[in-house]
Amino acid sequence: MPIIVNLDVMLAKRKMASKDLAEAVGITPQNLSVLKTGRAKAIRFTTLESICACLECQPGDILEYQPGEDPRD
Amino acid sequence: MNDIQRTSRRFRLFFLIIFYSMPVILAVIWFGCDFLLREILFMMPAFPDQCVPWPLPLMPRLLGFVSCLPSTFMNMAAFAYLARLFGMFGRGEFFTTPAVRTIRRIGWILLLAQGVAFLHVPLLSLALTAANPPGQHVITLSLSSGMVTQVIIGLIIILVSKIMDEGRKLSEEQAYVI
Repeated sequence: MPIIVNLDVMLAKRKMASKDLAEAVGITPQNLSVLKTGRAKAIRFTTLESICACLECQPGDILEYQPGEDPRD
Repeated sequence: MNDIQRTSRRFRLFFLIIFYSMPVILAVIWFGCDFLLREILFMMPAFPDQCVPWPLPLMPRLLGFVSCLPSTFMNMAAFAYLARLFGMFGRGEFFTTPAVRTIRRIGWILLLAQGVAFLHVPLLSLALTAANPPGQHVITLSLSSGMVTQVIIGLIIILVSKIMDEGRKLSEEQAYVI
């Protein structure tokens, strides 16, 4: 998947546990794990907004585009 | 637990009761309730009631009971799958692969049951007249509008399972939208 979610990096910078972030954002720890491991197919703007608000960062700090194998090819 | 789940659990219980009571009721009708057996047999379309000895001797009674078993087992299978389906709905599993598969199986069982039902009447008439003297055995064939209706319903249920499968794909996709 070309879009990489760098949540672990921001969680480490902010010294926050995944469980706490999940609770603050209002999603389950399982869904947060889906996001962290790159298995998510999409993210809602409201979720992205909540994550950025909790981690005090920009979307670009947690989302990264790496051109690679496109499954559509 | 929401309304759908609560109602589904009640339906599951209802279908389970029917599933377990069907063979018992069949046995009671054939061996314990002559009046009811006569009423049911004589109500069947194109049934050769003039050729069936009454009261029914033991051998035709046993053969008649056995001839009803395939149809009864098909109906029991349908109710078993219905109970399983509503059990899934009761747990909130609506658009899942097992639910879709179960709905499709119910459709196929309805179709196959009509094939079995088509054979049921000739088998039954032969069984009940088996003990008659030579020249008085009867085989009755019957095709009713109810059977055609059931085939159409079975086909519709199979189509519904395909639609539910599309719902399953959407549900699985939605599960990965955070």
